[in-house]
Amino acid sequence: MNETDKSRQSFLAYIVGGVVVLIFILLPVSMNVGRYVLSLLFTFFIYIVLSQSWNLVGGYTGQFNLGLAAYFGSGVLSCSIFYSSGINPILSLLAAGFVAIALACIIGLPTMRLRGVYFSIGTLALAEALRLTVTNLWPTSLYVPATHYERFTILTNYYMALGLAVFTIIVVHLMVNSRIGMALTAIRDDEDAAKSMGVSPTKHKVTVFVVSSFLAGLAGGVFTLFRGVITPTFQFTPEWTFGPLVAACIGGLGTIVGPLLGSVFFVILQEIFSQTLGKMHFIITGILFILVILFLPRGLVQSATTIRQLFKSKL
Amino acid sequence: MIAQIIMYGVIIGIFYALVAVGLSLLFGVMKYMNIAHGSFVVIGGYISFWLFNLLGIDPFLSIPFVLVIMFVIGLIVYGLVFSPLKRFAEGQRLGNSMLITFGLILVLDNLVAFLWTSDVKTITAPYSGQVIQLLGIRVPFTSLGVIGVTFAIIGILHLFLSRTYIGQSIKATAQDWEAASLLGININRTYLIACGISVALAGAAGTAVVLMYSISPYSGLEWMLISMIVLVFAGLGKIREVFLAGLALGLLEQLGVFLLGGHYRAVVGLVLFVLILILRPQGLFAK
Repeated sequence: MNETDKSRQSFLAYIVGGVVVLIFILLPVSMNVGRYVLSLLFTFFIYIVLSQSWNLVGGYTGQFNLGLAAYFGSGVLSCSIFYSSGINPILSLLAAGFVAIALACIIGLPTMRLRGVYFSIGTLALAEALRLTVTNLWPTSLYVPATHYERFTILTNYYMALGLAVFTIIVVHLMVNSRIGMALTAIRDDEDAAKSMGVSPTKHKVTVFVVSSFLAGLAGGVFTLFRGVITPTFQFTPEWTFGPLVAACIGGLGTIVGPLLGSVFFVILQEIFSQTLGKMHFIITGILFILVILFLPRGLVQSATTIRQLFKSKL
Repeated sequence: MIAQIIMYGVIIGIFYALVAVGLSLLFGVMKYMNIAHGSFVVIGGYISFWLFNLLGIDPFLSIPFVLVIMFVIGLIVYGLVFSPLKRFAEGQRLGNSMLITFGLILVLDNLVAFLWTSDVKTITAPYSGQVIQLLGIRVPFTSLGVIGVTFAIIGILHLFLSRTYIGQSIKATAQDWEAASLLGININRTYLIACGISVALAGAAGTAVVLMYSISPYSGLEWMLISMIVLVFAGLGKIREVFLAGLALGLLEQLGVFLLGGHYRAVVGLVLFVLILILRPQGLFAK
């Protein structure tokens, strides 16, 4: 692919992206879509944020973070605590992001020294340790102030989640196409080689880990403002790591479109099957996930490219 | 009081070694990380539970049945999940094995919940709750049985690995699979059998879990994490050190319970685990 082809393609991507965002902005004002669709789309947006956040570390550095739930959960918990102690909800939301950053610095810095499988089980272990501690400290549900439900309608929550999703995609896009992104890919493909070229693996990994945690923390904050009542234990369960992980892997690791595609897939699958099969949809998701890892290691995005190339070669 | 704490630490430690030994074997031989190990523990527990409830088979006597059934499940899992992993380049296998077995957790745990509901199940055998007094230290009868079973299983495993042809070929493959295959060892068959044994051992641990604690469909993660901790304490893939590593974890956890209270039992283990990962990644007992 030459340069003009590439820039034309990315130009096209911006147009498509802009149109899609515009549709999502206009959707609730132009049509009476109802609460159900809005909250489904809300879940979808949260999944986009979380899977992009997971992909930033997992896809671009090749380090599988199995502790994303800790950052999402800490966002949920801290936003709820700040909000109920009388702080402005939007400030609480931002604070949730910074609490996640603080956690990433405390937990992330030591685990960053670990490589490969050690990193994965290390992050999972710390996330579980945090979940058990939180369960001990906050065993019951937490409430937001009673005025909350007047100020935040489903529409406000919808736009906040949409805004965060767009913000996330822009941040990830800028990061990936900067020097940092190139350094990350170099580290992923050969850490020792990158090191010998003067690229500091630890510095770049920490940067990207902090950004990823910040996004997950913000997602937690938005989630709190949507739910109102939260039970901290449930927001720290590994499900919040596994969902985004599955979405990112099914869509395609190390791409921006991948997690978007994966989130659409995951949320729709979950919605269809949860009404008929309950939690059993995870069986189907799990089998699909295994098949994708085995036969489409670069995800659905890869299959799209392959099909396109097939067409091109036929023409 | 101190003696009692140490006693519990030893009991739980030996039990932890039983939980982790299968995972260590699989990692040592195939260099795959099986995150679904805990789910196999839970499935083994369910098999014991149903054998006890439907046929009235004593859980300790049901262990041979559990071993056989789980061995077959292990063979199936190898054929469906681990065997296709060989398509990947060597450097990518470990990471992908983690992702795939993670998918396996989703499938297995929800399948178990679907088949047997998400109720918490435990076995109350006639001798459950009975306690033996040893020099003023109380030892539950079931724990004593589990310790006996662990010694028996690890002893048989040791004999199998060192005395039989298949066992020796498993060890050879673990050391250097290329050299082993040059010497005419069928690597695929060795992997298949090692996977079967690993899952069978997880199942036997499940019997101990259902006797000493309880099982529910989504509790596999807890046992997986414990196996993981023991694995890292022992040094990845080192089967002989698993026993000592289990003991170390059991004793440290009991110390944590003594100092911080029972709620933080698992937290102590997990935090120690990360510290050891960072400070001594080759394992506590590696030379």
